[in-house]
Amino acid sequence: MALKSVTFKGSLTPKDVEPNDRIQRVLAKHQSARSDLVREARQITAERRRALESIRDPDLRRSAAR
Amino acid sequence: MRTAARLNRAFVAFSGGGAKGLIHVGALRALEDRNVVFQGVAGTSAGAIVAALRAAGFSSREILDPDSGVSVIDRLHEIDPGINKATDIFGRGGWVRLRLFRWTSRHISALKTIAVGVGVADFAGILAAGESHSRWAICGALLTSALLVWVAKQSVRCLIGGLADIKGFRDALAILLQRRMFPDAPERVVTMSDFGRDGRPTLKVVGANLSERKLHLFSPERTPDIPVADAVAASICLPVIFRPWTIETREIADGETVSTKDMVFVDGGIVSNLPAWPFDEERELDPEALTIAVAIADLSRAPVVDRFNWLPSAIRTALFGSGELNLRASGRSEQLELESRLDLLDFDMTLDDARQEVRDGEAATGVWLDKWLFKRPDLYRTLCLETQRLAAAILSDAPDDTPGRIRVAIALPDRDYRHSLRLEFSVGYERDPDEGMLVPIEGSVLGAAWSKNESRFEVAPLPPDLDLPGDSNRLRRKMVWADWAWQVCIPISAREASIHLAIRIDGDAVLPENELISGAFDMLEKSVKDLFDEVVSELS
Repeated sequence: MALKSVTFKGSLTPKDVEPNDRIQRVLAKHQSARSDLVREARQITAERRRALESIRDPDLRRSAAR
Repeated sequence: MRTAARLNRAFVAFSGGGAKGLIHVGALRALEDRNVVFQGVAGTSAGAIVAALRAAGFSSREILDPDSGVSVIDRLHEIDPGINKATDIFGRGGWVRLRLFRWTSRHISALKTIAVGVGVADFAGILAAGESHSRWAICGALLTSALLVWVAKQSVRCLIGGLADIKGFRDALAILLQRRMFPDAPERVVTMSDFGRDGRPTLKVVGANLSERKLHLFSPERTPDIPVADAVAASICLPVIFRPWTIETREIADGETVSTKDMVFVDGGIVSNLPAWPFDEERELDPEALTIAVAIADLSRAPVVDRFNWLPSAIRTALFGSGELNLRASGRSEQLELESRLDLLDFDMTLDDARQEVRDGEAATGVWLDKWLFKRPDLYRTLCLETQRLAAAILSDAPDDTPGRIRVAIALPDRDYRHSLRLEFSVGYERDPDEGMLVPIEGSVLGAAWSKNESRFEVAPLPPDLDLPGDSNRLRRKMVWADWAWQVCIPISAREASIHLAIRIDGDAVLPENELISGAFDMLEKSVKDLFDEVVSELS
């Protein structure tokens, strides 16, 4: 378990419990959303790179990239 | 909160920068393309021109359209046929003197050597003429000396008095503003009081008042009767370049002028080159509106400074070096700092170069806006929504199957802040006063997770050392969501992308402290961390 706590009274020792069907469905749905968000992040980075490359003034390009 | 939906309203400040100010037109274009609504605009020097034109209703395309090449100079030409290009704003003969000045300043080392040589040669000539006992030789040598002294004196006079006259530009600008704002009233003088009402943004311009030896803020509230063209003229009179500008101010009592006084102004850049601070009150009244400060940096091509060439660097430092201070007083603001290959006096660039600089300014501003205010913040907010949905779904599997109300925020340090984190991009905080709260790193669960780089899960009540202790947190404690029952704080770090943030998730459901719950939060922590790690790595 990666979590640390000073107030939680229960055990924080991780147990390898197989997630039930409902949780598996939740995680599958989350996996799909995660893929979309990662794709969006990749697109934002690509657009930023393209915009920076379009700047001809080297000083402006450098300051925009900061 | 930095989300596109709330970013419609903005106060925008433009710094001074001479010919580099062309970047502002590109910045304006990028802001307009993102549908920013200008609540107020402020400017100093070149920034004052852009601010006044924008406040009067000119779009960036009317100021200089990089596609067609049409610019505000064309409109000024219709008013004053003597204005054909940007260099004509310096008045008759002004640009010739400025070119000479620019050439001189760029060849100052060689000119110093020549001047010393001429001085020595002249002195030697006087000595030789004295020894020759020739009256003509002595007269010639003395006349040469007198001529050199006269040239030096005239040069100093010219420099101190200003190389160019702003009056022609000021008068044309006054008519341009009148024609745009009051086309049916040719005699109407556009004053500062015409802004901040009738749907126009408020306008603030900074000048340096030499008569009172202080910063002078021209605004609808402080100087309602001052013509905007005078305020702009005062703001752009850079010492040496322009003659100081004089404005007649009136003291009015019971509606009548009691006395008049001439005030002498020079470029506002020497007192505040990036006027974001004049919007303090407006920002307090509309805290969700953003202040965007477009600063022109002057870092490139800086010479190696030694004891004999420090003066030009000192002047540039005075103009450009205090941007951070000027912004500081305005609370949460975003400062865009752009450099340009242009020099302060490159007003004689070709139209093609000017158009390209505007395009570049637009692209550079767009990159910055999308990173700090639009695309990346929107993505962060969507991440928070997904985290909220995931937390609710996972906790629904808990024995009492009521996840309750769940809130999510991303915590980041404000620019140059070292002891606190700001809750940003939040979802679920709409009813709570801790939306956007600044959380101290010392004395908070969030701070403990951030500084130790370990995920924390805590339930209420917290021990005193994590519960915002001390007098400095008294007001902050009142802002904390009273119903919170648990919170999870997850640090995310990607050094290669210079991204270091923390996710805070909290909820009001009182959960049993058993292994099922710890398992659920374990799954939540792992899923959220994986999600953010992957996204942050893509942003690098």
